[in-house]
Amino acid sequence: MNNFPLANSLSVSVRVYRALLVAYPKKFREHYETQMVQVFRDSFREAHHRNGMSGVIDLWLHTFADLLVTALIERVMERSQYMFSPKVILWGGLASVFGGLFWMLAGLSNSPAALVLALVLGLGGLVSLYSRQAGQGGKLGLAGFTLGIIGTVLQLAVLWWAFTSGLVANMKRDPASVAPWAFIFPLALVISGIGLTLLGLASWRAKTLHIWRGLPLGLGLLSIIYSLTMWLVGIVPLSQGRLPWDTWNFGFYVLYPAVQVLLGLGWIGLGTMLATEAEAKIAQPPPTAA
Amino acid sequence: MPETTSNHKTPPSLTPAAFHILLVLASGENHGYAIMREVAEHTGGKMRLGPGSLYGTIKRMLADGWIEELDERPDPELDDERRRYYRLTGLGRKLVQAEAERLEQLVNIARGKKLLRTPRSV
Repeated sequence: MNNFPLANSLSVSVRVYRALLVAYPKKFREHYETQMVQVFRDSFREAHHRNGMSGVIDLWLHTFADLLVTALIERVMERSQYMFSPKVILWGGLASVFGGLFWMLAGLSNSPAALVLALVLGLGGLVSLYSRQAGQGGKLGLAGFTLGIIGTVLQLAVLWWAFTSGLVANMKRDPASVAPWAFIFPLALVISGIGLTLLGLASWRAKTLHIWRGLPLGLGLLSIIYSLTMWLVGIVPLSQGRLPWDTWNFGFYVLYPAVQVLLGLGWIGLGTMLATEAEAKIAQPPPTAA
Repeated sequence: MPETTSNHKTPPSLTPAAFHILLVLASGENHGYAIMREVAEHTGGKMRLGPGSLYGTIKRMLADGWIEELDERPDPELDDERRRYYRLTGLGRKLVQAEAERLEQLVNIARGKKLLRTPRSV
């Protein structure tokens, strides 16, 4: 079985493996490339010695799968390190402050453009809060962050689709026909609300913020309330063939904007705290060596 | 080292790969390939660490202060100079001990429930 020539196949395999190592982050390669190639070379010799060609194929399959998975992990970890930097927290916090202002504007003017800007800038707030946890939020924090991002992106996608597909234009003609599609928006809102609640819970448990620790959790719960409000004052009338703003009602003209304004204040408060803390950290002189 | 696991309030959970590497290094310093082979041997070939898993785990364990890299190779004349050797730190030894004790407790519970045979006395 060992008729398969070692020298050439080893040299080619090592060259291919070395080339594939480009999948890892540069810093990781700088530290471990020589050792990884050495381990691969030793493994190759052993696999060839024991099982010839089939051993080499088995080694390659295993090594390739290992490379794909671990290169991805190393890349994600490298990004995470960057993500936890005070600058990311600062900029995300500032985005959250501006996002809060747009939430308030959306509540007071009912402007879709303000809502879109509030959502986009809110993504910065989510990144900032998650980065501030610096991994201490654990799986709960990661799950909350992921749901928050998915829910917000889904809301933006629904808004974009609603305006470009003529759904909004159809609303005045036939409100009932729009209701099943409009249902997706509060659903996306619930997803991001649950995400923010979980992220807030993780943040509270990890004592991420020095003051007002419960604010992210409160903001998450308020987002869920907002989605329920939208359901009651927006989707229910549409499904009954009525436009929500046709007749004066407390829900649409008072409750709904009030919740949006509260959300805005919450995002502003959270963003201010995150940005202030991050700015103080950036301004600190680096520790001097003893 | 900026942050070590010793700063954590609760003991960190070990990944299976990290536990097996610590277990290998508990018997003395070793290099990557030898660690990989010994892990495969300990697990009857069920855990095969590829170069990426091996050095990814080593990188994290170095950063957490569980292991350290030796400045000199144990026997330079008999060995490839490109190899790097690693050994347990005090923290790494404590962690692997704690994990082994935890597993022992589980084994004892399983034995009490007659899920395992009582080991024969030597």
